[in-house]
Amino acid sequence: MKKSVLVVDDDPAILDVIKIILEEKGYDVHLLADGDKIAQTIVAFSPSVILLDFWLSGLNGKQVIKILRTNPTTKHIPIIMISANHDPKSIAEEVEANDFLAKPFDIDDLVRIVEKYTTSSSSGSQATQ
Amino acid sequence: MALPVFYDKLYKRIFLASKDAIGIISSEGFYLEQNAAHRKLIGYTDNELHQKTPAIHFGKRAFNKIVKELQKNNQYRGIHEIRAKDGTKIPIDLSAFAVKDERGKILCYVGIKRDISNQKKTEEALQKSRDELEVILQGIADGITVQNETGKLVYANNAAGIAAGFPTGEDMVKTPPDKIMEKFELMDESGNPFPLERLPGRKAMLGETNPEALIRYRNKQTNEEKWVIIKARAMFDDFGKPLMSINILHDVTERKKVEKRKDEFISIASHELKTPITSIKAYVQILQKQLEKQGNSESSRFLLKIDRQIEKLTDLIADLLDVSKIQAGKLTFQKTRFSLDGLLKEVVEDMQRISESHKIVIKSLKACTVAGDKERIEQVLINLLTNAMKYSPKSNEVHVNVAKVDSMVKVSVTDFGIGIGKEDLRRVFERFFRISGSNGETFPGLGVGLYICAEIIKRHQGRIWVESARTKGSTFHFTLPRIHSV
Repeated sequence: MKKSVLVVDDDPAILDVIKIILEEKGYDVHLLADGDKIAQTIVAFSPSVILLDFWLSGLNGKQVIKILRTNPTTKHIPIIMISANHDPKSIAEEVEANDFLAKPFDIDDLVRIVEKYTTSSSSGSQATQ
Repeated sequence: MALPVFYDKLYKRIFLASKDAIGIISSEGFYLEQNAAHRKLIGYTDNELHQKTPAIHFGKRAFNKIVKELQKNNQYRGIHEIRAKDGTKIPIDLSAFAVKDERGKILCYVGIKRDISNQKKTEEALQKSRDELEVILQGIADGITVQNETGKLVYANNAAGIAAGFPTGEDMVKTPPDKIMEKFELMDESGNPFPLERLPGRKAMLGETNPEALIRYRNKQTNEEKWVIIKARAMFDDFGKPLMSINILHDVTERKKVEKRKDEFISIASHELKTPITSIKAYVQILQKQLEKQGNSESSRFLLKIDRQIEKLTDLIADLLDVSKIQAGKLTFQKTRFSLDGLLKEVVEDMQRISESHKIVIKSLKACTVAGDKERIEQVLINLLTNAMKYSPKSNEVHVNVAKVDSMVKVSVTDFGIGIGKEDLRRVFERFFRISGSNGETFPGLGVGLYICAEIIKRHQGRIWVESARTKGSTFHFTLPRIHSV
């Protein structure tokens, strides 16, 4: 089974480029342009990891995390905050995301951080690489 | 005991020659005699005063009052306006007393009238100019306060009073200073507590010339926040002892609000700028990897260069955002313990790798541990080294020294470049300040790097300063508290 990544970002170009990078690495990538439908998407898609932009139109990143963390079927899914904000590290800590990636990022760093959360045993997904 | 005749004559002459107007009045109240000065003052001849009482120039009511007082206390002192013979009114200071014989019987009364019209005119003029001055001081939109040498508030105009939450300046003066101060929380630009000893008024009294400070203050009751620039000047007596300090309080709240909007704008703008940069950077890197795989090394190299330029653009945006964070008092630090010498070596190595123009020489390096935000301190080191290279285009070396000074560690970065003129030495740490070469050449940059460095070092309880002279190169120093190894 392929490892899957859900990417939530309101910028289409970023969604597109992350899809290219992660698909090339063998991931099943699902894209979402706003946080409102995240609950339904996760039920349908069941990702190994979520890449979440902090400034989303509609629900903001903080609310999205809250929804995911209170739902027993989603609360174990690792969340990596991707943000163009000034201090993503403290934001990630504040909203209790598992990790963060500052925009703009090197694609190697993106791959590394996604791998980190998809190869660990706690994520429950099967490693294919 | 009767006096010799000689003395009688002498006393009479003294009475006649006195420059103060003296009148002698009988125990019944009638004029007996006047001297020349008295005659000149009120304009009556001796004959005209015969059988007259002083009521002719004092007026009846005033005269009765004087008589009553004299009968009661045997003396009288008071300011009166008397009418001379020609009708002119003259302000006088009257000193009158009863003269008695050995048994206490009243022989006569003496009245000494001192013309105070000049004194009165001066006083009136003084009062008038005081009134005018007060009107001017009250009319000034800026707050003005005056403190005496003990720090007590002796004057506040209404603008100052209102700024401090009082209906008028007078109400403010009546309030004890500690009661005024406890109404407010004073902060500096970044929101840190503002120590009272740094108030310009206090500094001025200690002899500092033209001290000033930008202070943010919050009314603890209303939570209203205001910004004020305080400038102080001290006045000294002839012996150099401070007499008072005069403070001008200029409200800049509106200006700060505009600045805040601008900083919020920068914050949003930088976020928005980073979004397209993120995808551009990622596409460029994807493309670069593909071309590399295909063996197209030249095109791949171009894309690497693009990537490096994107990096620069990102750094510029980060600097802008840092500035707006500092302004908003929201620059945060993640403090850890780390080896400063280790960090320095890493930074120098990294920078040496990309610099073709300069050799970075570590002249001395002491091992030391500090507590702080490692990334932020790295940012300071990179900034100082980048500046050192940027501002010494004709030289090829930059020197770095790390020394222990008491409980601090001191890092010094020396270049051999254009240097900084005396007039700019203090300003290099100001926001948006940029230096130009001796023949007017400019250097790229936003003018925020050193401002950010200064804020970072300050917030780490360190100090940053520069030694330099035009064309003589510069040495930037900063200190940080050392963690003592056992």
